[in-house]
Amino acid sequence: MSTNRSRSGKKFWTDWKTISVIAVLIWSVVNLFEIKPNAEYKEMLRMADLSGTALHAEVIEKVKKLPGWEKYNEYQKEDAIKREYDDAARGNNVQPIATIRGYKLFTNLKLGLDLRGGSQLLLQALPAPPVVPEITPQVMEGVQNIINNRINSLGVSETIIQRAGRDRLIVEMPGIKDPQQAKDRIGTTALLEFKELGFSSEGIPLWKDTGLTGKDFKRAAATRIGGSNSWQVEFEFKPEGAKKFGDLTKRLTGQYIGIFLDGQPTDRGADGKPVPIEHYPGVRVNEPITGGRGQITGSFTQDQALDLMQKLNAGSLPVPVRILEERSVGATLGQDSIEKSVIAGGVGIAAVMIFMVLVYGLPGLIADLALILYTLATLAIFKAIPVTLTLAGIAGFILSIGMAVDANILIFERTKEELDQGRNIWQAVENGFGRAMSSIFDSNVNSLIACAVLMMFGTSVVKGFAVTLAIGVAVSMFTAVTATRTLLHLIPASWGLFGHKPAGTQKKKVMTKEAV
Amino acid sequence: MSAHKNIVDIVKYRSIWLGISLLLTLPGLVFIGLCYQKYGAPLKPGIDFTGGSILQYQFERPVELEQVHKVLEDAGFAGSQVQQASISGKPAVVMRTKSIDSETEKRALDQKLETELGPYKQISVDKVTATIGPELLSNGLLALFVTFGGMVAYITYRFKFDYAICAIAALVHDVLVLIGVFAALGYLFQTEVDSLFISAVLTVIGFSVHDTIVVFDRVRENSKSVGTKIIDPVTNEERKKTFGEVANDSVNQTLARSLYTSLTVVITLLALFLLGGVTTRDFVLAMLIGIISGTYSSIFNASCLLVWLREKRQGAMQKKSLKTA
Repeated sequence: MSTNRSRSGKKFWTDWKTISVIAVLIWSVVNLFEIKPNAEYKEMLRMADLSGTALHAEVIEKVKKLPGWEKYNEYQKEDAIKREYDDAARGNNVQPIATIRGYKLFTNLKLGLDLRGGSQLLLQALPAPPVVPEITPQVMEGVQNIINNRINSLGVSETIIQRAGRDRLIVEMPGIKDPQQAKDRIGTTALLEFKELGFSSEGIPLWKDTGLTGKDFKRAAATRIGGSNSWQVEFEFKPEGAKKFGDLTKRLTGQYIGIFLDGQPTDRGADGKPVPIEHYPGVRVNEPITGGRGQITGSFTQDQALDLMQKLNAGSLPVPVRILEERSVGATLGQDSIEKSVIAGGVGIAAVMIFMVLVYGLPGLIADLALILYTLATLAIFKAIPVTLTLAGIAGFILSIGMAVDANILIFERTKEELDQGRNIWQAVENGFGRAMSSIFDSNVNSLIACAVLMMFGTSVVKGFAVTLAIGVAVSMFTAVTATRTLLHLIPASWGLFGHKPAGTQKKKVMTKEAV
Repeated sequence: MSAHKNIVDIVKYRSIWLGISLLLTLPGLVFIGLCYQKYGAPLKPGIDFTGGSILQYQFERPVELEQVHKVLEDAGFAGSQVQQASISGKPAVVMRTKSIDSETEKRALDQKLETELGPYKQISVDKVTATIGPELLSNGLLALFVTFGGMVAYITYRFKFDYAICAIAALVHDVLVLIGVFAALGYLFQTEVDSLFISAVLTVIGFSVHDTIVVFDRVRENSKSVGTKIIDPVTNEERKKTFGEVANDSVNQTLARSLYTSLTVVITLLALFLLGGVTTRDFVLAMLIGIISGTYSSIFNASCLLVWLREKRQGAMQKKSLKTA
């Protein structure tokens, strides 16, 4: 601790602490708040509302307007499209604050599923012996890619797919409007198989594998049959598949081939469900098909045909998956939670501020200013990283407010003691800070240890809480210590602190810490 | 050094302070036992641990809970619980059922609800299969022990090993109080604990140690004056200052801070509890209980124990030196 500090105004303004406090304030405000003309703001919301094909069309239209688009190479184009998609998703996470003369003031904090609605699924890949007796990292990679393809084909933006443990995937789909559709799409293996009729050892007729599956497809497309309401899925084989298919159809000309999806006939009955396997006649092969093309006609509706097409194009899963956990939150509940959290947070902060002023008077007000800086800085960091705010995360943030205030209370109590012992105000403040520092530091390190453990072992909900609490604790070390100290020195000495008026002249002897 | 007037005496009334702690923890232990009998676990486990589903639906037409219950029973979900809730001021129905394992089962139930009770909006759906419960629990316990270990190591490094032991003892007290209260709530009001509860416990641990460290920091600073000559206030004789007196002074010097800090945290948590979302209410309640208990234990238990440990050791050392003499 340095001992002899002047309190001349000049030094105060060139002190690094003052500069850093002002810098943090400016950075937080600039980073946290955004201003856009109303029209642009509305456009952002409109883009965020689009999904699937409509969104894709808009994105393509926008990138085509970029200067020099024609000269872009494939990578640059892909990059530009991805950026446009990200931009479109931004509108999903805006919190309007005010409208000023045709301009909208808003923040852009990322909200979790529980606050904006959406679905989270926990999937488990199941081993499928004899082909895949064990779930290896390679198998999981395949599963992840295919699930990714399938969800992308739904047009859900901002989907996050993460591996969890050895055989699990977490799929987060914020803002998804139809979780059922996604689950139907994800949960099926989507293995298309061609089978021939044979007999079991007891002489019962049954469908037997031919080794030809949808994995041999190059692509599939859903088309309408003539002018009817019925749809079919046309497919095209890869070269080897085309050869196998040619051989098979040559061998079975005049007989029947069964087409199965995940073990169920692709033909649909009147109820829209697959026909029972006992009643499935299969498809008659009229002549050998050597061109490698064919179609699956199963009296599909448009939706069913499109769904099958997308599943086939996304590929089949190497192993079956099952949904271990589903958590879906409707937008209504999300909205309700946000409103309640904002009110609770506001009331909580206000109550703490009033408490501080009641207990400490003017220094309490300074702690409040530090608290405002703390709130701005923490939220700005949440936005910059970005931290996805969940309900538990907000709880962590609000708890960290309590801890931020704690640092100030520690400092003020120490300063009071120093004043009681007859130090002058400047010295009391400096000593108060110096002595409180070790307990502030030790106690916060301990909170950070708890946060680190929560981040390592916790579920995603718990992690959200730990991250906000940890950031809060770290920021509070700065705001509560540096900001409060800087502001405290701004109080004219003649006003006194905590009811201690300076006795007589200010320029008394300056005590060093060693003299205490 | 201290012109401070001591408000509490942690050394003289030691048995009272520890007695209060026993009074707080013993009933909790009884309820933990009762929960074991009733649920086979120390607390009533929620669907995160046992598997099961919580469906929150908002029906367009007003429905009786009895009707919903009947539909669930007909659909093969006997033993389900149905409760009334309120989302954005509109009534909603919360259904707790056994685990719905397949999508077909869920769809059949949804269809049946719609045909019998009319259209509805799904407010939230939580479906958990029973497989991850044990893993969640073992992860939670592992987290607990790693936290303990990390804190003991840190406090031993910054303070001394016996400080760490006392901080951990105070913290075990807080966890016991918290678990005891939730065992009672679970036994009496069917309050369930979920994975958020584990993080509430871990946060309480963090806060409790945070609080204890502030007191210990003072003890560490003041302990330099152990052995200095003071005038005994009662007998007016000159004698050496004991560790107990130092600890007592330290607790009293940090008393205002301990209370003020806890008050501010309690204020923010109370705001969350009363005004915040329903989803986190039990979580916030757990933190409230833990933090109030944490404040008590860091003032009255941690330093008490430290003094007791030091006195014991001193006694042993004195005996030893007497023997050698």
